[in-house]
Amino acid sequence: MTGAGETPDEPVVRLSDLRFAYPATSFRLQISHWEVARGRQVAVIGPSGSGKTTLLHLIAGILRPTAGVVGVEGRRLDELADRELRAFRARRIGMVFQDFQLLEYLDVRENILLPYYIGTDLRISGDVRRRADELAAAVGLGDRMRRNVTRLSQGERQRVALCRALITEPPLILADEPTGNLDPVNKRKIMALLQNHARRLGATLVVVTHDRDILSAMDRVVDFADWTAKVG
Amino acid sequence: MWHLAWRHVVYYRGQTLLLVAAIALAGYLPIATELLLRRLQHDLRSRADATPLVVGKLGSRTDLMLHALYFTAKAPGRIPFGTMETVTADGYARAIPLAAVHTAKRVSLVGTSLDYFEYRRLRVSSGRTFGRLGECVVGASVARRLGLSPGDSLLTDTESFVELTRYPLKLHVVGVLAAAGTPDDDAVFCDIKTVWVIEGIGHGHQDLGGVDEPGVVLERTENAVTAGAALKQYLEITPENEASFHFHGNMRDFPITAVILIPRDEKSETILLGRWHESDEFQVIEPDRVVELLLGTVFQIKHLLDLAAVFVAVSTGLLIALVVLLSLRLRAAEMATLFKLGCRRATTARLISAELLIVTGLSCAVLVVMLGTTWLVGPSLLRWWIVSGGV
Repeated sequence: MTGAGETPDEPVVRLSDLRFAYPATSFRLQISHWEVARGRQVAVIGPSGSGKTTLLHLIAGILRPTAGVVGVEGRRLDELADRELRAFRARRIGMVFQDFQLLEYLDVRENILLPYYIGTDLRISGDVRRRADELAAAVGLGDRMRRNVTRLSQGERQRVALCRALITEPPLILADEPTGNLDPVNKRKIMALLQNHARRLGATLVVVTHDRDILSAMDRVVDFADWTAKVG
Repeated sequence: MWHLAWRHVVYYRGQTLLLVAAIALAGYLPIATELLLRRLQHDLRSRADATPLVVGKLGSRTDLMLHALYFTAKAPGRIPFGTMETVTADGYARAIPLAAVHTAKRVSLVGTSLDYFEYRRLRVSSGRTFGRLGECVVGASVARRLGLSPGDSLLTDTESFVELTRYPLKLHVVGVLAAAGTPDDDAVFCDIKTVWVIEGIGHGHQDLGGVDEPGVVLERTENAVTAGAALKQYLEITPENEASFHFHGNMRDFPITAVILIPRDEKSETILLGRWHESDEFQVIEPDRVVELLLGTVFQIKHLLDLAAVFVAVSTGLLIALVVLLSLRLRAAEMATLFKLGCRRATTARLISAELLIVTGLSCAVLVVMLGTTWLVGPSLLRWWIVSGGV
């Protein structure tokens, strides 16, 4: 799962002298240095509004930093052109959003395959379809592939979002509150699925969460409130 | 990409249908108007070109032309049957009478002679042409619409409930005409004398020879018998009672509504036109010239319609643009998701374009179906429009 021109020892995520501010707000994010090694499973915790989601969006290249370096898999995302950045994100990063962000006019299978429908360099093949079926079966949605996502429960939607993040077998998985809307049983199931799939793929997992119940299973925990102390 | 676009269009089918309907209708109005008017132009011209001259009562030339060609009820008036002899006395033309003031089952009933079929090259597809009083031949469309075939019968219509002087006459269908694609398909034809029977000029009743009933025979002299209201009038002409039918008065005075004149040659036509141009009783018209005048007026109106169609198309286009813009605003979250998943701007633009193309394609398909239907029913629709006084 290594990208072109990278070495196994190279961190998958590298932030350096990162600064970010939303225009016309007092919000400021500053990270002097942070790295996540390949294959590690890291949780980022912190109070609401501290910038956890912003951090994920910066790592994914959805937001561009005001200053500093955002490196993912050896590529400087802050230097990539918009077109390259989007293509990189589609191929190399899998994201699970807090509010799932499924397309309501598509069914379960189509939502899982969405990165392939919209990715310029991605083509849907028999293998990809099979992978979608396997992922759906693994999260207990094998019999609902043709069901519209608006007819699913919150937990089921979360699982579809999870499958969509994993379908491209990305080396980096970013999950924003993946257990936010789930009951304890489903919470454990989802985290187990996410972690097992990440391990199987050799992928790096960064999870942003409020939920302290899931921290014990992670390799490392970063407290956003005490960022400098933990990270620095 | 097309798959996503199609799924979006299908999922929001209500909005899609509205858009498709708006685009299809905006396109349909001007194109259908153009199609129908071209068809009207063609039909009117071909019918007029096949009818050299028409004689009728002085009055609206357009009404006379439409009456003689399309059997519209609005003839300028009636002329005596003897007019035929007057205008053909010099042998410059042969004449075919028309008396088209009555209807049967709301279909124009045209009293004429058998020459009409020969002149219009009308062929009987089943049965035969009329030969006796009370017999009729129906046009192909009428036969299909009313389910008529030889051996059937149909009643003539009385004009109103209070019309006591005229009884409906039962007509015997003896033939069905082959479809000609002309107004003849939508008419019922009978002998002109049958029309006079309907008019009450001719009638049949029980033989008064041996009848002495007080209500039936009021007075009997050596030369005449005066019948009363109890006299049995025949409402159907049968082989048994046909001989009892007779006409009162001079046939030259019996009414007809128009005469189709077929001049021997161009010179004869010119002579006839010149001779009867300033008649106080009737007029001779050239249907093709009247049609050209009529079409001139119609196309003037069409220019206004074209202008209106341009406004409709522009306003529809602007509304659709507004709908698309509002739709993009409503879909901001969806677009953001696509962006977050790595969708390129060009891909998003292609997705929107694909949806618009699908909607446009569906609109075109609906438009083609609507125009096809219009093309198929257009001729009948136009004939109905003309007959009902639309022109």
